[in-house]
Amino acid sequence: MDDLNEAGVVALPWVVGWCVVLSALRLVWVIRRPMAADIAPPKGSSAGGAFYALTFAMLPWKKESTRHHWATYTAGMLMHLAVFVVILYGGARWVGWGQQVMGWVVLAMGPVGLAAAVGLLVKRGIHRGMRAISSPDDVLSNLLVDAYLLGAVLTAWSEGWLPMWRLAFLGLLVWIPLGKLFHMVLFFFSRVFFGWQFGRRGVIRWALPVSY
Amino acid sequence: MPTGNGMRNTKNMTEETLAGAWNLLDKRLSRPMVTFLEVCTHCGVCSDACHLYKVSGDPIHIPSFKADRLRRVYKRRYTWLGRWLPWLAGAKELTDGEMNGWVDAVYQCTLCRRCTINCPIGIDNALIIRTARTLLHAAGKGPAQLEEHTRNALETGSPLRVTSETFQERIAWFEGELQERLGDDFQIPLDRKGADMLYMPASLELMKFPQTVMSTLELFHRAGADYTLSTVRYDVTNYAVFNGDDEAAREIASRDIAEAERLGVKKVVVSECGHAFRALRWEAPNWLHKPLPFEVVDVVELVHHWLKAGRLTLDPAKNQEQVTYHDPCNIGRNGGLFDEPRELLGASVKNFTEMTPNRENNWCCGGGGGMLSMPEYRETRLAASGMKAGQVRATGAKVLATACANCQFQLNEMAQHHGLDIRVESITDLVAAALTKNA
Repeated sequence: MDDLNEAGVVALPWVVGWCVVLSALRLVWVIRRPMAADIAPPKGSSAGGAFYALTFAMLPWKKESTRHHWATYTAGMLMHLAVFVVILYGGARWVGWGQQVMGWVVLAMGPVGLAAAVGLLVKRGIHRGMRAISSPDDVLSNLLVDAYLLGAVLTAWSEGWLPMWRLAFLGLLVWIPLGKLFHMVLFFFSRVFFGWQFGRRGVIRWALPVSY
Repeated sequence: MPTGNGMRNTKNMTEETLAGAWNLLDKRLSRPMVTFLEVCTHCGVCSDACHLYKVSGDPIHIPSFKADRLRRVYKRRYTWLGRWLPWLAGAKELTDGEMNGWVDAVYQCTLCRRCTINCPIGIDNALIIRTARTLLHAAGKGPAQLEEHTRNALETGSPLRVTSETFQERIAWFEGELQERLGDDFQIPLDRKGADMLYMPASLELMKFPQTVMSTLELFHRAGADYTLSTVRYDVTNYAVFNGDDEAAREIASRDIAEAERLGVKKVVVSECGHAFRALRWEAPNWLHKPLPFEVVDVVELVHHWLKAGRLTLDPAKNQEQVTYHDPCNIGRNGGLFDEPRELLGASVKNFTEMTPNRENNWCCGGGGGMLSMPEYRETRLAASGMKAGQVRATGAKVLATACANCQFQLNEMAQHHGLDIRVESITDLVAAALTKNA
């Protein structure tokens, strides 16, 4: 375990560098693609649509898909929430402040998030439609997140698991710029592009009523 | 799942064609497009947003599955993982066989964008699917009749090959019919330069729903509009929107624009034809890279404006039956016209009932995206209308109003296929029927 710990510590800056540089390159490639001007006169507000898309449209009751797929939506939310908590836990450990409190939060939230992530993976495996749209990257990305959450929970429970958590973290960092985990960056772009166009056409608006 | 009846073209591509397809894809990779191609997490919640998947349960109809046909060749060329470990990314080479495998997935889509509205990430699957169609068109693999309709529009000005002579015969007939109601001095102005607005009907209306054109002309007359029709550009349809042929779409739109400029109108009024409105109102300025020198309005917008301005007086008591409204995807979800048709119906009919869901979440009728021009997918199209049929049945309405001739055609077939006892009417028909004599 000591060797693993030492290797992890040595590799960490290199892997962080890999993640940051490749993510930046990938992002720059996306940003440098041409942005065709929308010349048609607007009916609504692009900025209003983008704001709505990033805020109120994200509320679970605003979209039919999230209302109907409430179990999947809830599992996704719990998984993402757990990831954020674990990131905060890592940050707390790094700065040496609030580590114990965050450890308790991880012990409470981590298993829930992990169970949700595993549940989503199981759904991907057993549902015919999900199998049809899945690629190995979808499975690997989920497993990397699972390992990251599991490592954090075990470390919060017993410090001896830290090397395992660090290894999982390294794996995650390696994969972020390559696979689908990069949606954590592009998600915001996508919502803005969606809101911008549909806002401009007056399809979505600030105070759009729930239409059912 | 119907897989076609051999009408599509699956001829082998040459190296040159393949290179051309790659080149086309590269040109279409705008910032939003790349984002939408990269960001999908395959969460699968788009599946139930698609009427085709809802009625069939066939994974080929999951929107992300359709978009993945293009996404996986994009990944092969443009992402590190796709280049280094394609099996892990699910990436594929763009080959003849690969593209043949796209056809059933990307053409059995109505491009309605219901999945986009419901995607947690906001991915515009319709944009991706239309781009896949662009590549298929370039490779000569588009459905035969859809391609033919676009060619017809370029050759004759009309996808249904309606000639100017036929159009003028129809106009003479409409004029005679309307003179009985509006007086002997009623005339339909043709090619009148300097008119305020150019009214452009669709061939489907001219040939299948002439009453809609007559109702619209009556509304023009009763509102005292200064308008004209053209004997040169008398069909506003632009089927190149559906087959992905950007060059043809641009050419058809530019001919309409040139005619409007020749006549010197300030406004082009697009008839009740959803995709034509979308093409001319929202897409044409971008295809041509310049703003249009006139305003483009949907006839529903215009009539709504007249109503608000007091230029039309309506009596809802003249339409006593229970009415519900189908939002055409290209008018509503793609054009933002939700309130105008509802306010018109509110003023024209006594008993209006909303179907559920509606507006941006309304179910597509199943006839969009060029599906009406793909007989090989007729079975799919009629099955897909089951979602709409269920919505309509739940309202108990006797009249189903809509604002798109394409939808009207499909909804009539839907009613027959699903045994619905309803009458499908255009909004302008209902508004015209509610006109009071002293308007």
